[in-house]
Amino acid sequence: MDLLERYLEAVRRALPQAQADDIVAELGGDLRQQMEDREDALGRTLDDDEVAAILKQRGHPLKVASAYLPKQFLIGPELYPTWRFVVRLVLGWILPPVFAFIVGPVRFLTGHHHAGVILTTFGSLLQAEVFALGWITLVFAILERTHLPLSITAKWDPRTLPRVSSGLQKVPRATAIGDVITGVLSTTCWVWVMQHGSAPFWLGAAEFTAAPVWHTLAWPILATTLASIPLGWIALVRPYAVILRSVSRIALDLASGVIATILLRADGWVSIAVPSSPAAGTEVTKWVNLMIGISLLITIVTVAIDAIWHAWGLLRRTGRKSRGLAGALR
Amino acid sequence: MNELFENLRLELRRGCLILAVLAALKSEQYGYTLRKSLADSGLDIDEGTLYPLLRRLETQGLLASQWREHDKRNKRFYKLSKEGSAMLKLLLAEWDAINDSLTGILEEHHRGSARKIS
Repeated sequence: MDLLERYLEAVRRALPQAQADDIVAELGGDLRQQMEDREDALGRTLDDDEVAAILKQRGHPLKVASAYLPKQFLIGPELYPTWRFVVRLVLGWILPPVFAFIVGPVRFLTGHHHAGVILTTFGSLLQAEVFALGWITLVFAILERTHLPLSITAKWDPRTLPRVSSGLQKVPRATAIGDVITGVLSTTCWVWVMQHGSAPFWLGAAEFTAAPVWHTLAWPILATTLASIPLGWIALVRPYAVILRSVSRIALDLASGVIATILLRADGWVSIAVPSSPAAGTEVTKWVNLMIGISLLITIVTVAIDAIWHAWGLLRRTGRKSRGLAGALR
Repeated sequence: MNELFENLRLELRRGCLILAVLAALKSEQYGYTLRKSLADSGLDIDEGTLYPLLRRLETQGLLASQWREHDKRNKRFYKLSKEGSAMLKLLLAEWDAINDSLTGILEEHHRGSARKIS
């Protein structure tokens, strides 16, 4: 019977204290009777293996105890859809814009380490999302246990439901994530350049001096790199808003094209001086400027193609919509 | 497929078990004999399901219980309460209605299958 006592004690430990004695007494009585019946059938007392087999068949102590516990979930099926809605609203629609358009810019304008601002803001956003998730879950767990009525599900009106998406086209998730990552990386790099490239700097034995045109266009370039982040974010949370996406992309492409064209019209973009060999410095400057020039040309062509592609898609979609409307009116 | 069948079977049995337990406890019994009598009637129910169910039904006021000595051992005897009897009546009426509907649906299904074979 030692095994039985150990088993009952293990079950007791997992039970609510107020009911533990009662439940364990009933469970013990049932198991003892089952063992006695078995002994009567065999005509002898049970050995440890046979007792263990009966206990094993009854189930793990934690599993047996869990069947007596009142609630096995934090948020039940009735509240779960509302919890999910609130989580998506706060984590997807409220916190990211607050950090992107308020917290981030405030830190950027008031801080000294501009390069780190984006990364620290992103880290703070993640932290805020984890906290928000925890608090929302806690509030809903309390609601679940107190059975307080929730007006969101009780007072709903079918007429307030969102319209069905007109087309099946959507922005691929990978593209949206790519936009956000590209925006974060290019902005970080550009902020670093803005901080360290404002004065001539040394790289090995060569002294680099950026042309004044970079300083003139520093903020517009930052604006275009930064714009990719909200653009990608919107595509991530509203993948079916393809028209908004196309219009924003065209605007961004145009801005990038204008900046690249202004840069291309400059005489040079960088000058490199090598004190030990002035001739080598001139040669390197020529090659580096040629590379920058080619890169700018490629940028202009790429953004032009991208803008045309989005404009074409936009025309097709709006054409399809008006045809559909005309058909519906006929 | 087997796991799916097992899940559906458990779901199907869950409501029936409550009905069977309430009906069987018109006469006073303790857990062990109740389980045996249900098993003898062809309705196997494991202890891990039966005892928590008995407690839940008691908390809901459908069963009444008391500890009493029987065969030199203390045992907890359960019996249908007044509220339990009223609830059993309602549930049996519901059961009859479901059974009638299901019989009709299944007859239709059997006729359809027979037509396909012929």
